[in-house]
Amino acid sequence: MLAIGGLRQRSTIRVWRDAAVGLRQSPVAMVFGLVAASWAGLILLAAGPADVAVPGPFDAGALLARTLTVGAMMLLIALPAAEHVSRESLRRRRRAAVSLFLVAFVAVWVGCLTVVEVALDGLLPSSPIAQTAAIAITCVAAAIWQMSPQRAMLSSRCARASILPPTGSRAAVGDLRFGFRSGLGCFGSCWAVMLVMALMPGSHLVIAAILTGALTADRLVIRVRRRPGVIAVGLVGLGIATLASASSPTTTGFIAWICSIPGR
Amino acid sequence: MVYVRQDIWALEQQQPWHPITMAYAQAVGALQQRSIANAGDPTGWTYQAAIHGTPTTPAQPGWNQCQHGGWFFLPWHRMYVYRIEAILRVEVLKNGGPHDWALPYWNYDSGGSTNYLPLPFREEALPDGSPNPLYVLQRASGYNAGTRALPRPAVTSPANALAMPTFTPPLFPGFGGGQSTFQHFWNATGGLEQTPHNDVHVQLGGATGWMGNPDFAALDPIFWLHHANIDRLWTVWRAKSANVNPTQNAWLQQQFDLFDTSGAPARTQVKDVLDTVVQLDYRYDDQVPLPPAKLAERGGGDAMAEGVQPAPEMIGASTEQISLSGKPHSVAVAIEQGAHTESLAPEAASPRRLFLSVEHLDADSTPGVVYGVYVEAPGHEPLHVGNVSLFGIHKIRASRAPGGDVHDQRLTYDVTDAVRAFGIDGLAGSSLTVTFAPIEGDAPEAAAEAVSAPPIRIGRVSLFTA
Repeated sequence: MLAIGGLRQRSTIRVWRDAAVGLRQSPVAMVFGLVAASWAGLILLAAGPADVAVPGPFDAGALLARTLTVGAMMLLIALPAAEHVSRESLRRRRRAAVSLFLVAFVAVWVGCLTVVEVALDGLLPSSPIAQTAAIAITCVAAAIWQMSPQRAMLSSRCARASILPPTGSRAAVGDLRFGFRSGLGCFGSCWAVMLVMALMPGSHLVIAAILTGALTADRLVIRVRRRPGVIAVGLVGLGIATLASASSPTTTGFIAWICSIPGR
Repeated sequence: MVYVRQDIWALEQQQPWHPITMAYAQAVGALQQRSIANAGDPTGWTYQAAIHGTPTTPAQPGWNQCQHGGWFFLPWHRMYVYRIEAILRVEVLKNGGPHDWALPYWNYDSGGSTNYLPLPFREEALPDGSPNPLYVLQRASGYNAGTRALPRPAVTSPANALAMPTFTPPLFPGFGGGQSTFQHFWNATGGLEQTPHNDVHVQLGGATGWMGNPDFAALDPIFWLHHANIDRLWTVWRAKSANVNPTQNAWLQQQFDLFDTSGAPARTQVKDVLDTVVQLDYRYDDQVPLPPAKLAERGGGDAMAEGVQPAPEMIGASTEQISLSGKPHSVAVAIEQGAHTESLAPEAASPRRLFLSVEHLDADSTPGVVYGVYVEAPGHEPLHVGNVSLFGIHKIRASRAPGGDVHDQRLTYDVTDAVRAFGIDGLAGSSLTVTFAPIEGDAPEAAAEAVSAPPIRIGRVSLFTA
């Protein structure tokens, strides 16, 4: 009995040790660390001097802010894919594989957001009333997109694995390719929500946090058929709140407070 | 009254066109006529078949509901067969058939000529000369002619599946399939679902026949006898005292909507179909009494059963994508030099198991070919570890992941015993050869069909310890 008990105890220790090794090998810590660092970076940027000139879309500062925004808002969504890359890679190159995947994923998002910002620079109306209307209309459009079968298809494509060769340069290319495809699929699925954020005047850490929560819940937490509807209702609510802000001093104050928190 | 489902070949050996078989044929004919009269009648033949799958649009209530590639495969099909059996029984009694009529099953693995399509399904006419409702043209060549049999044991044997100790292990699909949500087709195919279920579908249907396509399969009357056999094999597995069904509420409380004998919607939960005798009033002629329900208790140092699961670890993978076009194809899987393969030994403190994963499976359309999967180490004979067949590939391609799960279509095989037979020493740093070879049986037409079938693409073959 003693021997059996000893064996079982050793076995349990081994299992927990395996679990600890598994956690160290898992990309969860890496992704959460990057997300935390990105939020810290955004907050630091927000705390910087407010009276500097607005940077152009290709300035280093703007690219840094965009990279931090993607890191803060989108990396949690990429976590299942990063775990997939880790699980499907040899132990000795797991960290490298996940890093390559994340670099490609973030690069796609930063590139797409840059294009969006350049386009918005030329299209955005200048009057505050027109801007409010544009935000409200975009919220409704994003809600409609959220419910569309095209978005569901792109969301599904975002979660479709691609082949990961095990070793050598082909492995690196495979990790980058998967990151690129995954990032592109996620952008195709989430662009409308991100557009809402891009249209918000000034900076918007609180709105970024709310949207991050919604997008993360959409992809990772809420597993019911109605989940696109929940997000869509939230977007419509945001649109109504934005419109109301134009007429109600209280709401205006609230929205102004949210938008006055600098963030990018 | 507890109805007894009997083996079709045993019935036919007692008497050609046994009354139970004849009653089935007449009842099928009646349901087919019902569908011709009113295609919207849920108790009609085509409506019932569409519940499994149909390309017809717009879909009617209850269509395209079959559950494949996950842990609802067995309970959903049990409900489905049970419901149509009740509908058929009403017709049997109306026609003056046996009062204790139950759907027969087809055990194609019981020796002799049982792997041939049963005779009543091959004859174009009933004994009275009228058209035989059990006969359909849309089958792979040779089966209706009686010149072709299901390859035995490679396709017909449930031995690998029945040897699996767990219905749904935490990491890999197991006997009954991996955890899934309500999914028409998903990628966690269980051992029994793959072989013999998927393989028999693909063999009988070929590339264009009904049985090979889930959108038409249930139109072929042999479908129901095939599924009765799969259901029987679940009772065989469950009868082993150590084997238990899942105990998670996500499985037990999942509900499915079918139709009762009047055509009214009937909702059933998985927990209501676990004991065929007590809950559903039927049993199989070889069914032994169900042991008391047990909670999963494994022990024996099996890490798979411990509370904390070690993460699966990939220890090797192929480097080339391959395409199967009716001929044998081998691929080398190099095992990492530093892989901890010593933990695969049964005497290891916490023995791990080795899984072969055939990943990124795809084809442009249903290839009506079953490929055997063989693992070989230098100096050893290749060992058959399972089969690849892509039943419903068009449905699989359209499947969507719940939540953000990253997925591809893959089949996983436990190759621990095969590798232990080769010897664990020196495994790290060596390589295994994995060969895919079409299973053709003795039929002369099978080889030609295999070559002309749409190729199966495989993205990667990998080895995992867990």
